Amino acid sequence: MEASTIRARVDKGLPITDVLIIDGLVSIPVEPGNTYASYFPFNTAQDELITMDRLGIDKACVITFDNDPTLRAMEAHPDRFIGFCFVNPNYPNEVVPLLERCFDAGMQGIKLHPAAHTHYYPIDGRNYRPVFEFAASRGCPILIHSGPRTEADLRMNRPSLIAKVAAWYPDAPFIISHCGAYDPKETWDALDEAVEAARTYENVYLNFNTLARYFGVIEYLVEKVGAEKVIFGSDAPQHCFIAEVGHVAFAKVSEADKAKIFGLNMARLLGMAVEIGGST
Amino acid sequence: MTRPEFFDCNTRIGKPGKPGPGAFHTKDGLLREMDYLGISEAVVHHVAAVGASAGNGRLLDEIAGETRLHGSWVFPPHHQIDFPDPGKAVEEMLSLGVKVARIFPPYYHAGVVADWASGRFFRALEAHRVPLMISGSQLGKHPDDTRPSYSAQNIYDICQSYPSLPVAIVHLNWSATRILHPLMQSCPNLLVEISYYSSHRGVEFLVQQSGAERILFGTGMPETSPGVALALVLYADVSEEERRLIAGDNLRRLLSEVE
Repeated sequence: MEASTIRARVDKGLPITDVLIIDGLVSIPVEPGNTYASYFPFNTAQDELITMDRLGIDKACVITFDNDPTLRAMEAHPDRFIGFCFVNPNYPNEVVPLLERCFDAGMQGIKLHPAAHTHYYPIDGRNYRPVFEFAASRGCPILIHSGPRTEADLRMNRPSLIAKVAAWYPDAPFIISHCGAYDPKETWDALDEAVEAARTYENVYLNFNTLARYFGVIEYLVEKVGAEKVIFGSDAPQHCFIAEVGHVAFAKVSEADKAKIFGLNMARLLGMAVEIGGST
Repeated sequence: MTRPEFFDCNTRIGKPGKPGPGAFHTKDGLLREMDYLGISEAVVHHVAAVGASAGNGRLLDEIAGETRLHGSWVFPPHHQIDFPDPGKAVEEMLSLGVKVARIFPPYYHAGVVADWASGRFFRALEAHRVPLMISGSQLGKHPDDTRPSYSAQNIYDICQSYPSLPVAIVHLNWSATRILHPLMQSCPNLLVEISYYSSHRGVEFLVQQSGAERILFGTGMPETSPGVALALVLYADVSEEERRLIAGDNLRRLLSEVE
């Protein structure tokens, strides 16, 4: 890969075709025609694929609060969508059967959102333990929302709490979503808490989805935790794939680091074989 | 696609109370960043002017002689004690070559934009067609941010009361789309800056809904990652002419229309 390939293609509005790109967090917003509490344009799986093609995003790790749309999207586009199972710990008897059903159907990761979507259950609570045991036994990644916006977030999913749990299950990769920094007033303090977790525990990684809103995040993360721990993600369609691709493409880090961030790190966590040049 | 000439409507210099790591604070830092990113020109304000008007003078001292940077002054919108004759203040600003005004929500009474409180200031800007950039509105900040802000109704009231005043929402938020749409339909003099507008393919959505003429490229540096706005423009599925308008020609037109 030439020194300026990624930036040069973005400057021309071309897809980044020679680098593996895996988006580490995308929602499939159920079916066309639905409306939602927040409005976001172009909100079908097909619309997302159009944007991914425009940018050269090869694959996306997708979640839905009800897992069936994820399964349908995986079935329709098995080479593009990687399913992550969304687990509600408040139905403890359903947790393991749900994980088994979803992984039998091809899902490869788990998404947890302790402080939202009516779950309100702390990440270190007892009901999550079967989830972690399942992940540890398979070595599959667990992506955990982390954004200290409210007292509930602080009690349920702040980065230091995720770090505590990650220490219990060293065989499971824990990915802190938003780098724990989903709040404009506390961004850098919260980011440092996530950085500390990733520096302390080998199995903790940082997904910076939505942090394109802040200046210098990529450079900061690479300096503090190393590019190997940094995972690309957009949180599309609430936040556009384009924003986070631009965030990485114009960052002042090496092309090799950008390639790790864009896809090689996630491919490693998912156990994908990657050829030189980025394709799987 | 030919890369358009980017003209950034939203940059800042000066040391804020809580800087992000890696942020620049000086004119030279801003120019280095613009060179790296391929941005030709920028409108800039000084962070010190948000708290005290002396910051406007510091801005002019610091960017003196730099043709790529265009100053923007920050005004307290409730002006009647500080500068009872806003027409004079605006004329002074224009005589010094500054063609963009900016307001931030005051910590107290942010929502008071009525004519009895701020009308003479807004009319003075309108008389010269000086673009007014509005920071910290509900549509231009993180939706979970509880700090005081201008409401959508405030922006509607300003636009309706001063129809020849170009008004721009700075830092448009990704969650603003639903309320922005009727606001744009009702207010032809309203524009938006896109540094924070990371809604899925939001730029082309705005072009479809309101037209490319009403979208301004801005990076929000050094607060926001500049790669966002650049990529949003470079990857938008719009015509080359629309891309040029958004990247800089709309801003060039606004500045050329200042009287």
